[in-house]
Amino acid sequence: MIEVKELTKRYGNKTAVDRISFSAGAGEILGILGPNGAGKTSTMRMLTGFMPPTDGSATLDGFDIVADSMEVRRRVGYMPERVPLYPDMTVEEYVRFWAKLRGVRRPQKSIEAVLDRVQLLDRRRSLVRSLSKGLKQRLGLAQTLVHNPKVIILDEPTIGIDPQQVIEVRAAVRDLAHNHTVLFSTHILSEAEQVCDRVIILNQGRIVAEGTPAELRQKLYPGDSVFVQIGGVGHAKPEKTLRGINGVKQVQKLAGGYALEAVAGRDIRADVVKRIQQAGWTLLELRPVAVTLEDIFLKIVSREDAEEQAE
Amino acid sequence: MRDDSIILTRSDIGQFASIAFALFALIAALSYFYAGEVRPHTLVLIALAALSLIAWALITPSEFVGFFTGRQARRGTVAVFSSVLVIGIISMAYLYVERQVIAYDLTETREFTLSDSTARIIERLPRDLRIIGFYSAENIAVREMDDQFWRQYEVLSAGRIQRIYIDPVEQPAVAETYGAQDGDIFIAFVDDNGEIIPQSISYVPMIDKHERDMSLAINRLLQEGSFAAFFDISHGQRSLRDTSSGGLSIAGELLGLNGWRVVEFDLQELVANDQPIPDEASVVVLSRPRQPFAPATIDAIDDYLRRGGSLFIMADPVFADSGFLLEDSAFNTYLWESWGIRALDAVVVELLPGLDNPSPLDVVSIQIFDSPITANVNLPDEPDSYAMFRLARALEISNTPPVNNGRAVLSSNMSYAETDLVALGLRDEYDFDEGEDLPGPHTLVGFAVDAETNGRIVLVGDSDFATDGQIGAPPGNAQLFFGSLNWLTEFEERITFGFQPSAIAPPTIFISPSQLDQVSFFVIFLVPGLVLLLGAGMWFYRSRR
Amino acid sequence: MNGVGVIFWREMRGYFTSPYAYLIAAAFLLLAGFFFVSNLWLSVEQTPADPAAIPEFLSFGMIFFAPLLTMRMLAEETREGTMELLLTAPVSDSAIIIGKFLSAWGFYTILLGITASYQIILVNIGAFPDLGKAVAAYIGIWLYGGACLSVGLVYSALTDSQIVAGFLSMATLFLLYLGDNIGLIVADVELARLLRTLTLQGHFSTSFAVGIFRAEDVVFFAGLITAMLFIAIRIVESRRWR
Repeated sequence: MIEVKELTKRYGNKTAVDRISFSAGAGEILGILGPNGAGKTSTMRMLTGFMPPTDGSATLDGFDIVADSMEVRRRVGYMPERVPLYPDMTVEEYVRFWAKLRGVRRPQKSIEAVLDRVQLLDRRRSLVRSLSKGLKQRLGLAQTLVHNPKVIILDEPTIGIDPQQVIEVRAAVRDLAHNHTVLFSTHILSEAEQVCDRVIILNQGRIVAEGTPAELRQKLYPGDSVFVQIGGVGHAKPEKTLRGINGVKQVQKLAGGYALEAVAGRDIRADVVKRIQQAGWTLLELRPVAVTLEDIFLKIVSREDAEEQAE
Repeated sequence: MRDDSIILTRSDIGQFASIAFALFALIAALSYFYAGEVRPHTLVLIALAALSLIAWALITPSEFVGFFTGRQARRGTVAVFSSVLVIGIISMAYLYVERQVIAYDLTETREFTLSDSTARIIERLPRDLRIIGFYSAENIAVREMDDQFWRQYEVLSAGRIQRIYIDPVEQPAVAETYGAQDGDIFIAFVDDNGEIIPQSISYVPMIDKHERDMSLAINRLLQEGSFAAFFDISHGQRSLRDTSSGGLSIAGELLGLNGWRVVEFDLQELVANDQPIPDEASVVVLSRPRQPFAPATIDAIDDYLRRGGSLFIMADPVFADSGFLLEDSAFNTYLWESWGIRALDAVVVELLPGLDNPSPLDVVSIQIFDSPITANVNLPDEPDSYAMFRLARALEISNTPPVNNGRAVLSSNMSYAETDLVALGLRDEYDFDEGEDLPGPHTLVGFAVDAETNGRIVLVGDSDFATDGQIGAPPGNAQLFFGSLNWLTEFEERITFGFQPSAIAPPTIFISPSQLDQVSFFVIFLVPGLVLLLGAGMWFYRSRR
Repeated sequence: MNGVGVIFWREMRGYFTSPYAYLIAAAFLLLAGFFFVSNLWLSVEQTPADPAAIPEFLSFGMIFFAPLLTMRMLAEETREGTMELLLTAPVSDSAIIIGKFLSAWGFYTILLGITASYQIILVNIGAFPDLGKAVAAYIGIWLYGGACLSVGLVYSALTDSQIVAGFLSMATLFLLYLGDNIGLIVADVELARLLRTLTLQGHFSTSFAVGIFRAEDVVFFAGLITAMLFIAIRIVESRRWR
């Protein structure tokens, strides 16, 4: 559905997007991750036809984003980072405007369907300005969906809304995947993990990692970690003892306990319990620590930076 | 978001400064190119541009640097170039259409459309004409307004009339040679080389309607010399060359200035040689002849009048037994029998109190009748516009005339005509004698016109009013003199053309105060109020949901 | 150009549902009414009423009204972020600008139409308005207003601050207006004439306002509108590559 080849965007001598290539199939939710300024928004803007790429090409549903810009725009639903609203319109007028502008014939049915879907049907006659932030977010989503686009591009849709609404939005996005291809950008990695089928990690305009959340975890953090809290240590220093455990790769002192990283493929929990008991300490807590994309991300980004400095 | 929309952000101000820089720089460049040198105001503009530039750089340095490092340069050049191209194409289209002079006069009164009469006047142009307008830059709007008319003359004459504009501020020497003030218009013929013929330059008085004033002026220029006043000098008349207080030099000069040809001729010699009075004489003027007219002379005059000629007779009282136009003379009899007007051997005495005439024998134009002869006499708002006659003969106008006749100027009801001219002439004695003297009012100026031949006569019982000593004092005398000649020769009528409907006085509107109040209420309160109410209702209705 | 209609009707609806637009309309009608009545007062027992009284007032008044009607149009889209969405909708940039311009012109046309109906009052109370002159003056001020609105639109496209857009368009329109008094700043008469040809007043006060319909004036206003819309489109387009 989305094919991106060597896509590049330069603003003068500053390169925002640097020869990225990726693809997304029908019904897939593709996450784009990256810190601010990584090139997420620029990539999305090129795919929506907002601005032309400096170099490279991309197609959506077989249409080139430059040559067939109008066809591409007809097939894309886009929600920018800041939800664009007309405060003086009513909910229904707002959705109708976008439906008509995108050439929906007999828009009334689509409007009602989409308002029903985002649960705004009962507020259809309210002024947009009177909606709460979460409802505004949903209205933004309604605008994205009203012309039943093949591709939906959402730029950081969960920013600035309360946790309950974040959950709703995430659920809604997951739900979209039945009929649409979704391109979803975020800088919250756990969100990508929950929502996306596949993730691209962007840093300084380049793709630094790509894959399913599980693959990425596997690739970058092959081993598991455990967290232990120990009592009755006295003046002894447990780090050295803990490092000596078979299979432990690294020990990190945290507030109230220690994080132990295991060598790939080893379950170290039994060995840890045994060794603590041997030392005469009390095991207060032992639990596995799941590696999050946050960690992966930090790791990749810092590695990138280090490489760059080495160059 | 709404609340902060009126607060200027730092970037707004930076943007503002950048646009101000562009505008100032552009205006400075334009003014430099036009002036061809750096003038003080150019320096001020450059300084303002520089200040804006500095402000821009200080307020939003990053944008400032970004702009000049060329990251937008290529696309920007294309955008600017295409915009300039579009403006260029539009300008070309404008210039093309402007050359075509496509204009429609939509006014109901056709206020800006040249009439057929003007077209006929233009057809008669013997050579090309120039309209020369003096307008300074301050008068540019007036010039553009006037140009609406002048360019129509250019179009209607197929370029034979052209307009020239001169700035009296920039070319004071040229204005000086014309004696022109800012806003004055002149017309002049040009010779075959396109050079203006200085003798033909004439001032165009702008009074009311542009077309009327201009077409009249052109017509006057065309008529120049075609009106001739023939003054007989063979009966001891006043002379045009006499510059003493009893001469007619001023009258002659004024006629010349108005485009008349003035000729002195010997009527007796013509008659003696059995020659007729020439047709080119638009009017024959008899200004106080001293001798009676011989029958042959009267026949010559009658012949001339039958050919449509005009006669202007100014006859003073005769205190002797022999003189011009005695009551029972042959000429007087001819006038009475053929034209129904004659002079009486009686002098009008004006007894109306409250006049500032030095003597009751100085008669003024108390009553006038509406005719072209007195068109500019006794004007209501000009107290000096009366005419005064020192020693005037009473005239008699027949009530059963053979042709149309009438009275133009009369004395008051309290005047009478003294018939004892001996006592008056020798002893300066006059008094009303019942039964002998003639009670007023008396006709001082009479006229007659033969509708068949268009022969015309104006008879004035005095000749002093037209002399150098009195023609300007009071000014009404000159107006009477020219009014008489105008009527006799139809001078004004022949150079006047058919008016557009606009010349008809526009209707005056009468609206009662209560009607006005109703209109005010509707237009100022009701309509805007309803709109406000509608807006409030709409807002309330929408925000409630 | 399907987008033109959609944008036009949205903006039109916006005018009729916004209290702000009603306030402008009321002020517009109040001032126009004031000049209409004062002209009528002056004409009583003097001359026929001048049907160009309101157009002549508007030739000055549009300096202020045109920016009020246009300053929000694009500046607010930028500020609210909807511009980004408009530019990714399947409509061309020119359709967006033309649609918005036409709606501002349409709103102005409605207001103008209300004041034009006052001529009926003049006819009914026997004030003998010259209806031919009225037609010329209203056609003229209609085009004149369109040109003012197009200038306002350029500034609205140029900046995302309504205040800056409004202020700059008022200043520009004021400069463009000053035609009849150009002699106060320029001494050379031919230059003054040339500059006056570039002003709005130069194509109104001595032609349309007195009842003359000149083709060149129509070309001037239509050309000015075309040029301004072209520039506004280029500016909006520049958002794509800035």
